Amino acid sequence: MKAVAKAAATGDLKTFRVDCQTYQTKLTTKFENRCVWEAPNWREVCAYIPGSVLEVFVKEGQSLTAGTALLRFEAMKMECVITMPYDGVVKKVHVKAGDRFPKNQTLVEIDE
Amino acid sequence: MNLIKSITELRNRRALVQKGGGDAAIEKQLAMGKLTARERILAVVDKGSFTEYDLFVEHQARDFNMDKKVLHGDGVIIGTGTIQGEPVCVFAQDFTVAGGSLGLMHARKIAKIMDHALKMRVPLIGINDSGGARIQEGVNSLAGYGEIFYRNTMASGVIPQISVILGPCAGGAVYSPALTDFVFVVDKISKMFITGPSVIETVLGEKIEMEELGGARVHAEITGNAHFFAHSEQQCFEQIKRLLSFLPRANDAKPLKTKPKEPKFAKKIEEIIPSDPKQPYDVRDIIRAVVDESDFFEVQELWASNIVIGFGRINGESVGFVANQPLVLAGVLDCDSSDKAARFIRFCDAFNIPIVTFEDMPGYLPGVDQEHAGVIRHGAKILYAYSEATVPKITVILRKAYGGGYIAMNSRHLGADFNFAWPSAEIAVMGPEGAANIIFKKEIDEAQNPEEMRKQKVAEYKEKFANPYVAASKGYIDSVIEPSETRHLLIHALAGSANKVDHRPAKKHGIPPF
Repeated sequence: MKAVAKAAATGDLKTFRVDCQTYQTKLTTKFENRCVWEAPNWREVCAYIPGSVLEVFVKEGQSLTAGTALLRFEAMKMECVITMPYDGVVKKVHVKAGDRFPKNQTLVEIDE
Repeated sequence: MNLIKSITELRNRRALVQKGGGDAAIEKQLAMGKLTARERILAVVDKGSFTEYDLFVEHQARDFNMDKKVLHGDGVIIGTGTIQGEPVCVFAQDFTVAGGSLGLMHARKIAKIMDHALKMRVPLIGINDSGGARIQEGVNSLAGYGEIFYRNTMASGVIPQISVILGPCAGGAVYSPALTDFVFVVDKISKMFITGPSVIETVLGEKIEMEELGGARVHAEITGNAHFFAHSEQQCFEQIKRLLSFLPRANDAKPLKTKPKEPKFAKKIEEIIPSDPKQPYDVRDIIRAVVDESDFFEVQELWASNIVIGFGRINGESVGFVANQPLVLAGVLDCDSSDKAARFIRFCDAFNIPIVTFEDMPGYLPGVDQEHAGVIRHGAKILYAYSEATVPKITVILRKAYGGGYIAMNSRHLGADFNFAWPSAEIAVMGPEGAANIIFKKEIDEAQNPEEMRKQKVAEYKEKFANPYVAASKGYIDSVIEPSETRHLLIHALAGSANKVDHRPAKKHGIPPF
């Protein structure tokens, strides 16, 4: 009760829903900082690992078939190539040779 | 005469080597707000009890001009001593000697004291303060780490292993602490990470300070790598001594009993829980109300605090407590809290420490982040740990015991020995609101006033099912008890299970959902 009174006094009790019920409780920083899920955009080719771009093979407006190499990059001391996931047109290239990119960054946008 | 000369020489040699990296390096160490390796060992063991081994060991590296370098003790101190009169083995890396870097002989010294601890069945305390692998020694230092990890694993569950991070502990070096049972960190002094800030910046362009990446607070609050957080080295040493007081020296022994003492908790236990089930309270008050002297030693206090774990004594006997914490995230089980409780349960089981569980939880935390983070496999750990444990297992249901949470929190069905419930317990397949919405969906939808009908049905469900008596009528609960009887019944249950025998099928080992 003391803790409740203290928590209520400092205003850090929040309404928190589990299933159909609500509770008064404190939240953790980790919970408050959690990432809200977003549906992936299939038009975007994203980095699955952080790395740096060695060479970009394609230009905006180019019509490509699935499997065509888009760019070559280096990550964890290895060179890798990212390819077109399906047939489409390159709408926008977000990186150039020499760029470093974090995980999940959009590298290329595609139009069907 | 000759012997006296030899003794003097020994003394001189000792004095020189005991200085480690020498006065300048020691001064530097102290300027960083740190104690020296030797001071640390002397601060943690009983006065006058430390005996050092391998003081005169020297490195054998020959490349890169290493043959011209003298590294006293090869940067690590090992030995034996006692804590509260009980024997322990200790090693402490000496940052003043080549940055405490780990070479072949350094690793061999650590391996030697680990082997000794395992053979003698006494706890091992490792104090880490090292820049990492000694690059000049190449693959030899990698071999050294591997041999330490192997020994950590062999000793796991046989002797308590404690890691104290009092400086940098980076790269591969972090995995020895990670394999041990308890990791102690000190604010501003401990740093643990796999890849440091400079590599992260070069590769990712992400700028981060060492403290924010792998400081003490990060590991105590976010990663869960650390179990105890202290503001000073001295406080950290006190925590180590306190922890050891609850543990046996090895898995073939029981923790030492102390003289029973009554709890000092001022308030009546039945006044701790608010009457409104939606209001929180601090479950640690319940623990304090039942343990000797109200003295509860919490483990991982800052991480996943929606579950509380720690040690206390009941009638002089060391007990491990696991309790849902309604004050934080309503006490839900989630990935982190399942992980935290499961590991603690396994520790208690390995070291013959009975487990008392206090249950008040609304269920598993809903959310995409939890599902995608693997709440299924993490949540399974707690089921595994409770089911597998053969130490005495006692549960007291304080309030909510809904759904999967009811099963997970040491229910009778997972092999609990004693299941008590307070009259405030709500043991049900789910919360009354959710259950009424499903069971009475038709009635609610078809009612003239659905909201009114819903309220009525929720009340009806609550009345009929959200209580301990349905479970008690099936024998799932042994006894519905008054809160004030709790300590007495815990004493009774522990005394009655002192000779518990519970076998598991023979196997090489189980496959817990790691």
